[in-house]
Amino acid sequence: MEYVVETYELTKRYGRETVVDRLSLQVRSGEIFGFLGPNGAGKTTTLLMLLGLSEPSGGRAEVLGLDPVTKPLKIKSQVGYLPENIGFYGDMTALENLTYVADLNRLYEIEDLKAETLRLVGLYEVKDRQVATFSRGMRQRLGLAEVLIKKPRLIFLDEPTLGLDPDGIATMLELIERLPREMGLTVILSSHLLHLVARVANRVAILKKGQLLAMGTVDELAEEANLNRDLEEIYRFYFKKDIRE
Amino acid sequence: MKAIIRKELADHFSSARFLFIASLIFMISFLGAHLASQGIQEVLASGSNELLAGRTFLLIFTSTGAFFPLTVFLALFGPLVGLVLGFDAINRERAQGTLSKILSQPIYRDEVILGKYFAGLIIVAIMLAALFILLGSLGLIGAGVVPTPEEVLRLFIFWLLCLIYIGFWLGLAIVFSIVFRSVATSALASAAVWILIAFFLPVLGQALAQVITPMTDPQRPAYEELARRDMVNQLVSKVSPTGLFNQSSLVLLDPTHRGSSQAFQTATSSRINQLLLNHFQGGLSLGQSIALMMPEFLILTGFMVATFIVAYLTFVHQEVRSI
Repeated sequence: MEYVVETYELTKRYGRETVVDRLSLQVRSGEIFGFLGPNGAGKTTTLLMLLGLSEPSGGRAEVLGLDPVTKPLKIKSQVGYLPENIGFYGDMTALENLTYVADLNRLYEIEDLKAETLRLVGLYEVKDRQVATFSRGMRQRLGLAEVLIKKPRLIFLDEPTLGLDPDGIATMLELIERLPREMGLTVILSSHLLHLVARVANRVAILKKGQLLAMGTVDELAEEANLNRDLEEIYRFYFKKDIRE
Repeated sequence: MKAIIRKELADHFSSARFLFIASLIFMISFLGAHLASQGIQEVLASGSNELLAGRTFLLIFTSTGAFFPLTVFLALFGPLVGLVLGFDAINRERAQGTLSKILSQPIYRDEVILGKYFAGLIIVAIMLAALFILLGSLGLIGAGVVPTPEEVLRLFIFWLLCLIYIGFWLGLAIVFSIVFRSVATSALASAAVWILIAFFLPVLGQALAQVITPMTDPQRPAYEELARRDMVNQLVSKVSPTGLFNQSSLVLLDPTHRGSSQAFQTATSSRINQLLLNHFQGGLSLGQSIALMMPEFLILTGFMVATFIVAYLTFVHQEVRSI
């Protein structure tokens, strides 16, 4: 099996505090990988290290066969990242925002691709409206369009459903589910909302205080814990286990 | 980097605060130039124009007119342009959440900071060029003086000097926008430093000089005392970018000016001065003026480069998690 992301004892410390603690995990090509854990578990920090935006204090990582420390640009041109609180230039239109990101990727004269991507996320009709007027759900989908415009092989979505209404969450998850099938890319999805991740993820990793508690398909984890196929229960099981130890 | 520069330029040209500051400077400069060219006309009409030979056109920039010369005006209010262009360069992007998005695109971090800096410099260069050309044409029409090639050259170097001076303030503002998280804080810090350096440092220098070098007899100061006080004054003024700008612009635009040293002027006030005046006949050549202002010019350039390097290093070494 080909891995698109592999980490070996990846560690990040800020001062004395260890945010990511000897994290070793593998993500397979074409899957939706759920990154689970409460706030402050080190999910975002791990994603930043995988992108080469933050330097690991120890261990190493490989993304698409490249080392983020030495080849961040090569990784960033093939990996899309949707930050947790993505921002836009409010006085620019949706299309202008998207064009700026495309320009930064040195992708010029791709009007068809831009239109196609905006259609995919359902924003084509409002492409000439200022982003300041967009709802949270629309902004999140525009963020996804900005991630997809570079035709990535791998995307990181950091809490993509945070702050969305039920409708927005449903649309977002539907979109995310389609990506591996239709565009052949791998998705790493970080969230603390378990039921959402359970709906779309093929495999999950449970993180707490920077440490990996468990990793596998939801079924595997359920079997191991002798539980129903309910991620909430599994999650609680692993957390209790951690506390007992 | 081209994409960043292009976007920043578009942003600046459409931003209300830049247009406001720029139009304010244009209006006041226009008024000043108009008054100055009236003064020039009077002098020309009185027939004493040998005195002005070779620097008539530059008088538009250096004559006092009704309030103060344009060079002094630019020294005091030019900084505002640089500050307005830079004080929210980084922290606004951070606050609206676009910084982490930009940094996750395949560009080096250097390109972000360089793009923003150069976009600011380009704006300043365009604004100054437009201002000088407009003022020059006003002089042509209003006073009817045609600039000599040397005057044009002097003006061009003055343009460069202004660019470096305002570039220093731009770099300083960008440093504040990196260091301070809040846009309001960096705006306040920029304004405070502007007032301190542009208005108080020169006064402070004089006060300091008076304290360090007391005069035994203020009515008839001894030459040594004057020289010592002058040295302290000079030293302090070399710490202030505004002082440096003032000194070099005076030397550059007024060929009859021989440096700002009081002691030198006192020493040469009598017969020697007369001899010197006869010798130079109306003023220093361009090469001599440049040589005279070179130390100030270089220190000012050093200031500009220093603020840029500080901005560059703090930005490139900042932890992204905090972004």
